[in-house]
Amino acid sequence: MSQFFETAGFGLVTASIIALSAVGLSLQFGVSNVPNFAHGEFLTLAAYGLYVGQQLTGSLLIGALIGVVVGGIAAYLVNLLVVEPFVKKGARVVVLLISTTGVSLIVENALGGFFGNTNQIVALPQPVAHHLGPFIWTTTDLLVMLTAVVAITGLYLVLRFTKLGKAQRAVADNRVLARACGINTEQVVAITWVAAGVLGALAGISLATSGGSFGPGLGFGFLLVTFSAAIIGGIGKPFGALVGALIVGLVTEWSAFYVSSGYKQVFALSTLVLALLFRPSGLFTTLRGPAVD
Amino acid sequence: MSIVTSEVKHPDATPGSTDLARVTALELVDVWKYFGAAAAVAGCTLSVADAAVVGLIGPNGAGKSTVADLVSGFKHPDKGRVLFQGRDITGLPPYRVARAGLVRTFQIARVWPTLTVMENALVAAPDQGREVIWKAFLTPRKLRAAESADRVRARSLLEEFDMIGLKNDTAETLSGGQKRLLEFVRIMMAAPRMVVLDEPMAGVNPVMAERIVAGVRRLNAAGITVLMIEHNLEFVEEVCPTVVVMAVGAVIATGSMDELRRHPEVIGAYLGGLAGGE
Amino acid sequence: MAYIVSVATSTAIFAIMALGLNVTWGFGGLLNLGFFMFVGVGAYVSAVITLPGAMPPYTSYILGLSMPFPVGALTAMLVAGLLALLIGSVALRRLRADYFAIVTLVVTAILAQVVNDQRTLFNGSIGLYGLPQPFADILNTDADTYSYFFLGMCMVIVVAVFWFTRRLQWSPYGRALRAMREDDRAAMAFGRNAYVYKLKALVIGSAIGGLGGALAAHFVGVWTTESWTIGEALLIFACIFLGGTANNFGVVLGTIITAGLFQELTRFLPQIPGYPDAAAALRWVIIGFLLIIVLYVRPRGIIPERHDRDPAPLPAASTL
Repeated sequence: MSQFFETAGFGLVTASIIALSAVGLSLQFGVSNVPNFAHGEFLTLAAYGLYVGQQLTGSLLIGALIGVVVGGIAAYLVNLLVVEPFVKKGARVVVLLISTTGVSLIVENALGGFFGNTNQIVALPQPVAHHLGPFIWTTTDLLVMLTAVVAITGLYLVLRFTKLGKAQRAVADNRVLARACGINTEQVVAITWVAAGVLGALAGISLATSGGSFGPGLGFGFLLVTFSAAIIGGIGKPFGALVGALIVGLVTEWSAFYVSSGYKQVFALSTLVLALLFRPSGLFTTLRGPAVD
Repeated sequence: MSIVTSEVKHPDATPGSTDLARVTALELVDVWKYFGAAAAVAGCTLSVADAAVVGLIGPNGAGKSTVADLVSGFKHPDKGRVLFQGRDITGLPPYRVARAGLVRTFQIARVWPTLTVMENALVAAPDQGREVIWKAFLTPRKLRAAESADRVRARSLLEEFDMIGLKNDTAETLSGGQKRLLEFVRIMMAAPRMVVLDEPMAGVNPVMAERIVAGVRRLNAAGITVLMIEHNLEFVEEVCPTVVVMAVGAVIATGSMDELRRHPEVIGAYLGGLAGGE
Repeated sequence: MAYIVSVATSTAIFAIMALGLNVTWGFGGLLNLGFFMFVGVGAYVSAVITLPGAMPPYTSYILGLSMPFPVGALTAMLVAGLLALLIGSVALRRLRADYFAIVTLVVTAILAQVVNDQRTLFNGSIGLYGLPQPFADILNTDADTYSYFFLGMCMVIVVAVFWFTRRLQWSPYGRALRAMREDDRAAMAFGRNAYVYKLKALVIGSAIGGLGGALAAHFVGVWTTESWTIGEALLIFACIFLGGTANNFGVVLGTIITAGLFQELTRFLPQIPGYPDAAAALRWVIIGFLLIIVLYVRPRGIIPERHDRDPAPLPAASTL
């Protein structure tokens, strides 16, 4: 029984990382209605930012800060240089999907070419296990979960109570109407993308510090799991993605423990296939076409 | 005028229709459709006589478009039945409804943009077992001969609608009005028993409107029953001897436009809009 | 000279795959991002059919029937088609276009994981080696002459596939399919079951992809789960987008330009000291940029889709 809780504990950590990535993706999808296949690169770039920052200054914290900044900037640029031009052209969703996949290809290979295709190692302090009730978590685990809680709570507060948050929700609901109400939709969209990038960056940094090492494929490998969580939660609903992340995270860890650990990825992804079979529009529904100006 | 329904076989059409079916083309029996908690269609009962031209009007939110979806199989009723030519078609997927002989248009003219006008017409015709892959490789000549008949029909229709010069142009190059006319060509090619037109006059200029009126008359002259959903009441009056009025999901009155103008409930529903015949 | 033959052969194989993908994407409008799953399946199936039995503990895989190449290739197509049927019958039912793309990717990832983990299937992550060269034992020639033969064989297959897809495009089925590509609701309103049409397009395209996979595997002689990834899938899409979606000539032209370029680049890109992986990576970066630029500037490709030309002449006086 204790193993059940232990595994649940791991599940929560995994869920935290997935949540950061998926909430960011859902947030961005809500305003742009674009399946951004380059989302994983925000994670990867942040991880490399962390690595470089640590190499230069020796401090993990500064590395993390650099990673977050890198992730935010990357997201801003992807939106500005790739997504918005296509959307303005009236491109179909599938074209945007392929374009962003192309961006992912570019970034992943640029990083691989520059840093080499072998894994980079992040210097971590000795793992210390904490026993909290039935759960066992390392310091890193706790930090990761804390980050997720703080970031997502912060997001919730901003969306609910600030003017920017209200504007963001208006744009996500109906871009044309929001613009007619005087909201600077382009700015809101750009800020949303930066937020998605920051959240993704936090996820990437969490992944790198949890795993200890990573390669240029970090983000893309995590992309499908991210989409799984986001789609299960109803894509476009950031807090639905939270639920999706919990589901995927817990299923992953439990199946890894009770069935076979090699198939972690398989189970994580299978949740998506099953969810789509039975509820094609996700658990919380929003189905729309691409954002048209 | 050789475009007669008997020339084209409908795969799922009711064989040997009874007298009852002859008289009533379409019938909705106490149909309900909910979206969430709200009922878009609430206990709608109406019938359309065979070979009639019936207009379906009503204020926004009356449920007219939902009725179009329910009748054509794009949505399914939560309660009630839809009968076409005496046959229960409730719950059938759209392609089966079409094969039974009921075709519909959409609020925006949905022609196939990357196909030519001629190809649009050809695809609209019932496939009659031709669209099977192996036939294209084993019996190509027979296929082409069978298709020639369709091409001849298509050309003749395109000439009637003055579009023959556009036959090799892709549909995306057509103007909005021309697309609507192409829709009529497609309907004639499909040779259905009945067609549901969803706001055929939306966004159409007066010149094109006349051609569409002629198009509707053309359909009916070929024996096709027409149910037309429209907001343009002038047009409805010109073309439809019988009009059905819907409000808040149900039918509130049926009759000629003249009768309806004086009907208190109808006036109430439109808040006086009908009185001026707009 | 041997180098040119090699590049030409792999370009021909790419062309076969591109023509197949064009059926699914160009005619059918289905974004099968997991296309490389079918390529991989074709490769693996052909391999285990043509290889001699496994020798555990060194190698471990199913079958191992030592059959000649044509059997391997045909089985590859069959299995790829069946897999497509299975996936499509579920994934095409209700999903919108981008969900379909994601699901195909997800299934691909799942399959790759399974193959890597279950060593008994296809020798796990080590992969399969020493794949026999088709007809090599019958011909019994030197390597150079054989390479000409292989190239010739691939060219013949390219022509055959080209003819097949051409016929398909202009058939009544192909025409209806192309209509559904843009608007399947309208097609349904005219009595066609869009789901069945699209499923057929997926199966056919994937079967051709499987054939390409079989050829690729036997050409190189080796196949692992790393042989074909999302990068290669995007490369094939790039070939189609550049050359002309839904135009068979265009697809072949696009493949020659894109795949040829891709391979030639390795010759011309400088090796940057201190960055050993740079040159190989740079190729992919260029393909990525190429894809985005083509999609933005000319998404329909160099050669546009051909259209029906109704044979009858226009009547003398046509009022418009």
